[in-house]
Amino acid sequence: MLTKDELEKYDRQMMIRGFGQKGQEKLKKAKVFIAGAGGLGAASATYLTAAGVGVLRIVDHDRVELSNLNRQVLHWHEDTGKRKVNSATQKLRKLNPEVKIEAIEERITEANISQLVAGFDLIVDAMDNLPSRYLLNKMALEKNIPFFHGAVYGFEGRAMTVIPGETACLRCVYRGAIPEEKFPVIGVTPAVIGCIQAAEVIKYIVGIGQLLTNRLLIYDGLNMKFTEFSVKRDPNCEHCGHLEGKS
Amino acid sequence: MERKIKVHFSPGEEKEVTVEEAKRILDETYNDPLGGLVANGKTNEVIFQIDPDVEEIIVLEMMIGGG
Repeated sequence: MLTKDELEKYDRQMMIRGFGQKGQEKLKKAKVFIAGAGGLGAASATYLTAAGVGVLRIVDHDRVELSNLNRQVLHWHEDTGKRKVNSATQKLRKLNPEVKIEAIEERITEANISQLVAGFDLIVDAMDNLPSRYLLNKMALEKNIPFFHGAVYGFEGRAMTVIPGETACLRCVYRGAIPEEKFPVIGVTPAVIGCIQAAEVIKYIVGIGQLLTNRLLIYDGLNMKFTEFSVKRDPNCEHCGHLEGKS
Repeated sequence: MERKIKVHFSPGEEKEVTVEEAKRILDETYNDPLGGLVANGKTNEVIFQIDPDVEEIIVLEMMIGGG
């Protein structure tokens, strides 16, 4: 049930065809896990908070550095040195006090990931390294949790949505195992991709529109082009090949 | 005439190669730990082998950044 304030706050999005109060109530009940409070995490968390999801759990082990501030817009100059999850939570709670924001200061590892995502309905991949992304992808598949992938490099970004057992997963597409590294990026790129991830999450929860499944969306900010590449489930995929379901 | 395949590398670099060379590029892309992925340049479908109907391929680099 929505409160009087919520009915007013979310009025414009509830006007969207197929959204309505029912869609808003679905959002209010949803529990979203965001892996990473960096550029992608800042954008997706901001818009999911503004949209009125029920619970957001943000996990990150880093502290805010000056070199983060060109793109990680939830962290401001005064936050330098603070834990990113605390800096992000502080702003998000001010943006929308009705959303329950959970901040967890931990590095995501094979040992803790199952516990971290337990009870959550969706996973947003806002990580900055491939091993963690694979870990999240695998856990999402194991626990049957939809997974919203995003990645950036310079002016380029990518996004893809994974419905476990039904659509291609991250491992169906990527075979490499590139290690953690410093990469170039302009702030607008994670903003674009993080917002695409947030839009996918909202559409999935509300049950409207067509998801970015079996398609890898590539954003080329330098030439201002969006390109789609179709991808298929790999029956021999080491992460999802054993799962039954529609392909 | 020998079949040629156009290979598009990001960003913007392209060349025409033999089928064998295209297969080698594809294998190297997927076997290299730093490799990315390969798509059919006509259909925009991500591919893992060079089928007879493939005329162009696009080599996309791996992308990991998020923060």
